[in-house]
Amino acid sequence: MRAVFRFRVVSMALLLSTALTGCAVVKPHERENLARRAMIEDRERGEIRFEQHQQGAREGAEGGTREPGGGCGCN
Amino acid sequence: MIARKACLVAAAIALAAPASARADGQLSMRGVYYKEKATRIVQPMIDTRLDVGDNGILEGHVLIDAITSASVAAGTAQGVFEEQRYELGLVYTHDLGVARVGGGGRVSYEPDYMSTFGKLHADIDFADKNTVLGFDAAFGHDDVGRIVMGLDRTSTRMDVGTLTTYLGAVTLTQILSPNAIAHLTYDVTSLKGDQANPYRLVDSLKPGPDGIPIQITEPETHPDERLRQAIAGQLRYFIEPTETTLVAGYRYYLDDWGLRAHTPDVRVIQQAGDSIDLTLRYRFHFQTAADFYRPSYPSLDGLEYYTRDAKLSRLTTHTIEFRVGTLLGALGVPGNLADARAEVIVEYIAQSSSFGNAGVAHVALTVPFEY
Repeated sequence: MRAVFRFRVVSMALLLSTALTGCAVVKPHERENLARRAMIEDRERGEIRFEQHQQGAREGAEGGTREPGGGCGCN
Repeated sequence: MIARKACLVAAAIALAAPASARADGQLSMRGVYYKEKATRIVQPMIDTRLDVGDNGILEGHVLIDAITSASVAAGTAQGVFEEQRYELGLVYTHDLGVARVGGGGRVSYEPDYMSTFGKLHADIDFADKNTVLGFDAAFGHDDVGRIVMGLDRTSTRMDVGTLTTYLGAVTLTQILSPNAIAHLTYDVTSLKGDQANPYRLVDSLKPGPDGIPIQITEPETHPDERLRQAIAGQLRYFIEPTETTLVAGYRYYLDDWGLRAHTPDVRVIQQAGDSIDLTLRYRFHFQTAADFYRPSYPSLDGLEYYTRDAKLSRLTTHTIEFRVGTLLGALGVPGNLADARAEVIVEYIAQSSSFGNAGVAHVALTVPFEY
């Protein structure tokens, strides 16, 4: 339980420190390359959803995706 | 892997949209085929995205999961079973200018398992949209059942229990330079209720009346509660001279069942001309076993929990993927369909667990439209 709590604290600290550290501000007219498909999301929603479900049925770990898997994937 | 919401945020903070975004809607059709030693899955699905008014986006999907398996987890005497799972999902997102808020839900049904899930999300812009903070809260309720075959070969569903899921997530998206963007996500999931597979059995021995050990078979038992946590980071970098995009991700996972996992994931996406892209991906997954997992149980005496679920064992997974995507215009298709995107994905998954290795193939077509 202590490891779980420590992990939560470290994760939140990492998120906060990254946000507070900040980076050089990139102006809107400099974001042309950031608008490319490969820089936004190169994988479509259906592909990601299938992979999450498949991995949830074959691996014990999941998460980091902002949502849990669906269905039981019992087999 | 970072959720698509973070990527929508990236889209919002970027200047221009890709070719398909000039349409008011998008329809994506995908077929997936998955095959491993004892299981075959065919999954057709349809995803759609519609602009709603000036500031709203409605996304929906529907899919059928057709599975054929000879897995012992199915618990069928016949050794092979077939089942269909149906899933429907809707998400609405409203753009408030400096923030995007929304919510949605998803329902998944199969004869022995019904899962419902609702979610709220918000993404807030900072520093001239160079930084975006995202928040998610979700609730899920599952009804767990078991199909029992009668002597007359008719099937009956028996209630097993319920599973309640709570999820909270925080995401940071940060533009690092005109060619680099980073995502960081932390999420925590609490599960309460039935989490064991109602079909999976554990073999063991116990002393018989004359002292000779006899074999016994018991249903597996898992703890009723599980707290899962994951932190995932991803960096995308665009190399302008070669039009190559590098994507590097890593996830660390832990839970209070004693399972720890490391999952790095790298992709190289090469643009070939204006319309074609090629991707090579490698994903590695390593996990430790859950505290109560054993490959075999000489005795169940004194054990509160026991399982032989392979996904709770110590395992490694290597995934290699190749994909090609193209706009149909590059293939000579004229008119409105020229902006449609076709995609083929081929994947090989080497699994150290008893599931064995797997192959996956996707074929997809995404069509933008106006309405």
